[in-house]
Amino acid sequence: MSYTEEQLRAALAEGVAPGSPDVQQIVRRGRRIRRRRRAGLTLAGLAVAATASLGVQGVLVGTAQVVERPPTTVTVSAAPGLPPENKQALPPAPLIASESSARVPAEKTVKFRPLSFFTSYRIVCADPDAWVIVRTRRQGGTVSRCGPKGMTMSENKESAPSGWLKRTQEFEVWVLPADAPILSPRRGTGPDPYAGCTVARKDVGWCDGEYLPMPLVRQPGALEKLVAEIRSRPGAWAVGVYDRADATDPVPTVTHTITVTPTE
Amino acid sequence: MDDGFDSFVVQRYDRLRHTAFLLTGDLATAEDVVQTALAKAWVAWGRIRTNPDSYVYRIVVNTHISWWRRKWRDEVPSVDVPERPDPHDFTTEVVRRQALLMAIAGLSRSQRAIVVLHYFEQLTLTQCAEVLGCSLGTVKTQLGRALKRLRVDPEIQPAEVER
Repeated sequence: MSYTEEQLRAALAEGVAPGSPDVQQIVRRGRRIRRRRRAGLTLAGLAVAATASLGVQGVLVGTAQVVERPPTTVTVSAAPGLPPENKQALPPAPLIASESSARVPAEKTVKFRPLSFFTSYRIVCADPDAWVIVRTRRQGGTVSRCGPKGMTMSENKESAPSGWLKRTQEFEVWVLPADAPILSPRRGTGPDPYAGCTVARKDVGWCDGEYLPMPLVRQPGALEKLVAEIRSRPGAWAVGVYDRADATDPVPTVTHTITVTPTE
Repeated sequence: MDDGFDSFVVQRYDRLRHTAFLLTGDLATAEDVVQTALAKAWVAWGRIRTNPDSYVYRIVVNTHISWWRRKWRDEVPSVDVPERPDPHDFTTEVVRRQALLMAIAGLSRSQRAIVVLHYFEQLTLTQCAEVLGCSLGTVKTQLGRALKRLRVDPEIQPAEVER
């Protein structure tokens, strides 16, 4: 027995009880998505911000010691290039944790115990064109150039996940040389990141010989594969975490979105 | 945001929900898929407002596929059209439709998406390819396989159907 296309259409069209959309709930959900994306972009360095403490190529970034949960004052010595405190925080927040490396590609996992909902981060690189890839468990992560003045980004009450203050948090920072084969994050912002690729390999997140940003942070093994292809070379960089218990929102907003604040 | 998004949702919600139901086979999941798709559409509304349908269909299909991968990896749907029901049974037509729907549920995710988009949403095959992010040839091949599996013959006209 065969069916006709008409029968197929009729079967598909068979009634589903009508529903009523909750537009407000959809919009609220959309706002949450937007906040998460902004938080991700923040970590990737949307901020064209930062202090003038590093913008020079060849600066030596030393090592720094991670100390978790200091009282409310500076307890670690800042790596060269990392300011001892984030003056954009309100009040200025001390460095509570940092990691650094003298080579690229390199990965460091930064662990810290937040003291407030307004934890801020800073990444500085000797090479402003170095690729910085941040991977977090909650947001996936992002990919961006380090920038001539490094990056500064901060959490707020909306971006911090539940239990933020109750446990040690961590994220991975990978810094890759400027010539790493990564497609510009601007490409692939449409629904299909592989659109326009002549040769695409979705198993490794690869498009015409270069790696797409999203698979690098979301597809297990893709970033590791890319790193394995890159020759290790000198390239100093550091990441710092700033916080204090009495921190307040430096830029209160009505909608409480992630705030990216340029440092002085 | 009052720039057409609300009216788009009101106008398209039931249809999208129906589409998602055909894809997922579960009304609660369908509503969640549609709400997720519309929330993403809200975020991108500024650049998709002139032609939001394609974007929303794409999210619905991709969300369905990604959720299937995450949640229903172990599900093994029926792939065969059940035996033909008794032609003298007054419920024959209903049973036939149910059989067809069950068979649709047994298609692969991409085949099901093509069948639903083409025969329910009435998208052209080119539009299906656009939504699914694949070539027209792939859509045609997949649709042909799906129809064969469903025993739907495009050559047969309603009048010729065996009753």
